[in-house]
Order: sequence, then C-alpha cells, then structure tokens
Amino acid sequence: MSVDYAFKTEHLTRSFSGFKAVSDVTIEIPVGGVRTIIGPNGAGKTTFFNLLSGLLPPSSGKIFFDGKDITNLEPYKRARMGLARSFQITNIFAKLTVYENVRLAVQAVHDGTASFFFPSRTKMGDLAGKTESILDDIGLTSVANGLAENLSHGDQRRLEIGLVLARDPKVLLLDEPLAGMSPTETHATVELIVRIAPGRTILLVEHDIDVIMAISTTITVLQTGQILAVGTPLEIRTNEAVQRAYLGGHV
Amino acid sequence: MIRPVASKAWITLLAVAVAFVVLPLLMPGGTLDLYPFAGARFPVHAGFIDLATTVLVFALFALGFNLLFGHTGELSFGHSMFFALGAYGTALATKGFDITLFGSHLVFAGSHDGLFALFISLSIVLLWAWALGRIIVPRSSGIYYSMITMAFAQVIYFIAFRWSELTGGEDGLQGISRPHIIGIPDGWLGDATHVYVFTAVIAFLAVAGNYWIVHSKFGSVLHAIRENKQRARFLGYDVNKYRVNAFVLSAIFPGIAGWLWTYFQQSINPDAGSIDYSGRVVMMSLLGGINTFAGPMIGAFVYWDLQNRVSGITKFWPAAIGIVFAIFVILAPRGIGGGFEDIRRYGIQAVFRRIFSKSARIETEVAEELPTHGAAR
Repeated sequence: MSVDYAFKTEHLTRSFSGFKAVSDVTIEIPVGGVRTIIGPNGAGKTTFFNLLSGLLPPSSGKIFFDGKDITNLEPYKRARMGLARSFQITNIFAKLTVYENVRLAVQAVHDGTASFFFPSRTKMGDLAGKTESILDDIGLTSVANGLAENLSHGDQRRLEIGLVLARDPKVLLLDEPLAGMSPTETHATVELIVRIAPGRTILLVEHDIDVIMAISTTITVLQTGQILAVGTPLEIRTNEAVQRAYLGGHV
Repeated sequence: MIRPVASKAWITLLAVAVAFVVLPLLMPGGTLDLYPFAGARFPVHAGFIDLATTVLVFALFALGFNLLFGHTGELSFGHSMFFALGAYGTALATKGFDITLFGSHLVFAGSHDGLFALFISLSIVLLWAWALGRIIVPRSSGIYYSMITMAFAQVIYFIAFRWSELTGGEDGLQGISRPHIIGIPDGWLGDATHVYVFTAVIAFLAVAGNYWIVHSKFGSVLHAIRENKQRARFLGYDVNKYRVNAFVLSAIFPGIAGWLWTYFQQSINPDAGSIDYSGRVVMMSLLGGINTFAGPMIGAFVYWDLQNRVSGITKFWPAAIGIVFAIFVILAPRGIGGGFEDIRRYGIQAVFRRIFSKSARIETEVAEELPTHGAAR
C-alpha cells in the first residue's frame, strides 16, 4: 500500500431524517491488524460500515481508501479495489450450492473480461483450485455440493467470510461475524479470523467482549455516532469514559 | 475432488434435437399422438405440421424470454416487442416500403435474401434492446421493471397498429414470399414439412446458443444476480452491466423467432407485438418451469397442444387454459420441468406430499441430507 492508512475519513456524517447516526467522524485506520469497533446499540457501527463499503452515501464528509477518494464510488468498484465486507444478516446466495457460492466469488476477480463466455482456464487461472482451497480454509469442503440455505447458521456465516476472502482483499469489513454462533462455532470462526489476518487490515464490529480483548490490535469506541476513544485493548479496558459509557464498569 | 457434477451439454442438446424430430409426430393426427380419440396413422405420420412449427417458434421465443425471467430473475412484460420487431423487420426487408417521413420520400425495393432480412431484423432488435436496457435497468427493478417494459412494448404495438403506410396498420402485411437462403434450393420451402425442418434447424442452433449462454460463467453471474443482487455487487460484479447484457441477449431469441414466424406465416399483423403475446410467453415459461433449461420449450408445447385440443371443443378455450395455468401455479409452482427435477431429487412421494400440503416448498424429513456422496468424487 502506498499510504500508511487503510481508511481515512474526514468529517464523515450520515443523518437519517435529522438523526445523526454517524456524526463528524474523522479517523485514520492504520494498515494491518484487527481493528475492532465497539459501542452500544445505535452507536452507528453498522452505519459506519455501510458508509465505508458504499451501501449508503454519506450526508457529508469524505472517505479515503488506499490513498484515493472513494466517497462517491459504487460498491462494486470498491470491492475491486480490495475492500470486502460481510453483513450483519447473513448475505449469501442461498439457493445456489456452497461450491457455486465460492466459485462466483473467486470468478468475480475476472469480471469485465470477455473470457466469461469462453471456458478459458488459461486466462482465468485455476478457478476450481482456488475455490477448493477457500472451501478448505472455511472448513466446508464436505458440504460443498449442498445448497447454501441448508447449512447451519454458523456455517452460513463462515461461508460468507469465504466469499469475502475470495478476492484476497486488502481490507475486510466483518459485521458481527460471531452473532448467533454456538461456542464451538465461535471458536472455529475466531480461529479463522486470526488465521486470515496477517497481511490484511480487518475491521471488526463485535459484541463478544472476550473475543474482542483477545484478538484486537486496537479498539475504537463509538457512541451516538461519534468517536469516544481509540486505543489498545488494555487502554480501553482502563479508560474511564469508556467504562462509564459502555462497559458499565464491569470489565 | 469436490467439483460439482458437470451438466452434460451434449445430453441436453441431443434430447432437444430428438424432441424436435419427434414433435410433429405428437401433433394431432401424428403417429405418436396419444390423445385418446385421435386416429393414429401408420407408418410414420407427421400430424398437424403447422402446429408443430408454431410450437417451435414460440419455444424459441419463450426460451429467450426466460433468459431474463428464469435465469436473471427479472420479469419483462413486453418481450413481444422484440418478436414484433423481428417479424416486421423481416416483412419489410422482404417486401420493401415506400413512405414519406418528415417530408422526405423513402423507398426500399425489398429483397428476398433471408440472411439479409435476419441481419436487418436483428440489428433493429439489438439496437432497440440495448437502448431500452440502458434506460430501464439502472432505474427500475421488480414490478416497475415489468411495467416499464410493458409500456415500451405498447409503443411498438401502436406504431405497428397506426403507422399504416409502413406496417399496413391493423391488417398488417401479407403475401410475404419465402426466403432465398444460400444452400436451400428455390421453392424447397414451399412445402409445410420443409418449413418445419428449416425452422427446427434454426431453432436448434439458437437453443444451443442459449444453452451456451446459460451455462457459461456469464450465465452463472446472472444466477447470482437472481439470487442476491446486493451480494453480487459487493463481490465486485457490475450488476447493472450484466442486467443490460441479459436484457439484450434475451431479446435476440424473440427476434429470431419473429424472423422465422414471418416466413412461416407469410404475413404479419400487430398481434405479434401485443400484450397477449407477451403474456403467453410468461405463461409458457411458468407452465414448463422457469428454473430448468428446457422448461419454457416444454411450456410452449403444452400451451399450443392444449389450445388446439380445447379450441376444438369449446370457444371458451382461453378460460380453460387459464384454469389449467392457475392449477399449475398453485400445485406445481416450479412447473413441469421443475416437477421432474423434484421427483429426481426428492422422489415422487415427497412431490405428491407437497402438492397436497399447503407449502410451496418440499419439506424433507431430514433437512435435505447434505450430500457428502457425490461430493466425494
């Protein structure tokens, strides 16, 4: 990367009919590591993600990614720049097979080439090989030919991470990847996140405080659309403002 | 290895070819006509051949339409406009025209070259589809998409209906001669069976082309868009570009069908661009099953066969077809092709259970045993 930040926002604001979900956020998110965003419900975490990934246009302010102004860039163009995201509510191709899900994600790297009409292994590289290696990564090889909608909740969440990984993105936005998972599934998924983290920047929205403390490089605390604090897990744990606002003094 | 079992292109296409050969025999009066009161004739007899040709033309029309409806998940309610453009383009390329437009006199003498007519018709169809796609796709989806396509189809319909000087108005254009095409002896197409053979060969080539599109990587992206536009977008696919391309590609097949239709009928009238025709292909696709490749073709056969038989009994045949259609939508929402697929996958009992339950989805006892068999190959 040519610059030392993954993301930079300047006075980023998004209002919904007067209510400011994200309010004047200026932040630089450094390259590398697991950067977690926490905050109480309604603090603007998901809205912030939606602005970064392009699902929502900001009301005002600017977003920079990899040194370029992407404030008004369409989502698919952001994805092509190496920015990938998962959603809070599982977002996969439910009626396609698990294999087809991943293959579509792998193939997306070549979008825009005429070779989509021709079975050209040479031009597209080894799609099948890459697909299989991702399936292996997320541990879904044995169910590859089943429909995605028939997977368990945890497996569906992991499949989505697999889709997000296919492009080998520089930056991953993971919106509550552990939501609704059993302890075993949580464990496997955390392991997966830690395994894929090196060489990338991961932005994580999560509620599981133990996991957050264990894997975060830095934590950003949002409250009512604004940044309350940024720091290492230890700093956040001992930050009085944070304790008052969010952790209720129990951490 | 976990690669999914590749669908065998040649098996499907061979089945289509066999179906095209057998089709006339299934028609009223044909050797394989299974209608109880039909007097089957031996030896091989090709039945009501003109009806078979009609089925082929509409099979191609519906197949193209389904590229958009079944495969991309977008319901165009105006695909008859492409059929009409193909048909009128062919008629005018053959008969020529002599009109005055904005004070200038435009004359074309006409040509009997079939490939010239195909080129002209498809150029018009592609240009119109591309322009429309660019206008409609970024601005609408769902019900609005259906309504806007219908509105534009009405524009074509009323031009055909009102611009008498060019289109012959309500009466349309008659006396269109059969084409000269390289490799086909002059006069050969004067025979109804030969017209069927000609139509079948062209339709087969187009079906093969459609199969190729559906099963290409491009086709897989269309399926992704059908399932989840947002996810496709966030994977980096330029979704609107694909939707425009799907719209244009799906217009080609009705265009070719219109070309064949004009030569077969030797006349053309504004009905070709009517809402009625747009609605028929929707019905055919649903009857046959929109999520299977051959479904729309099966639907075209069922529709015309049914229409032909019922119209011999009662003049209220459209009502009868409507009832059959309603029964299908309620009991077999995935159509005939989908029904076969379900039987193959879940067994006939599960399918019957579904028909008599109130759920549209097959409930298997085990949540569809996630197959490790077939996966481990």
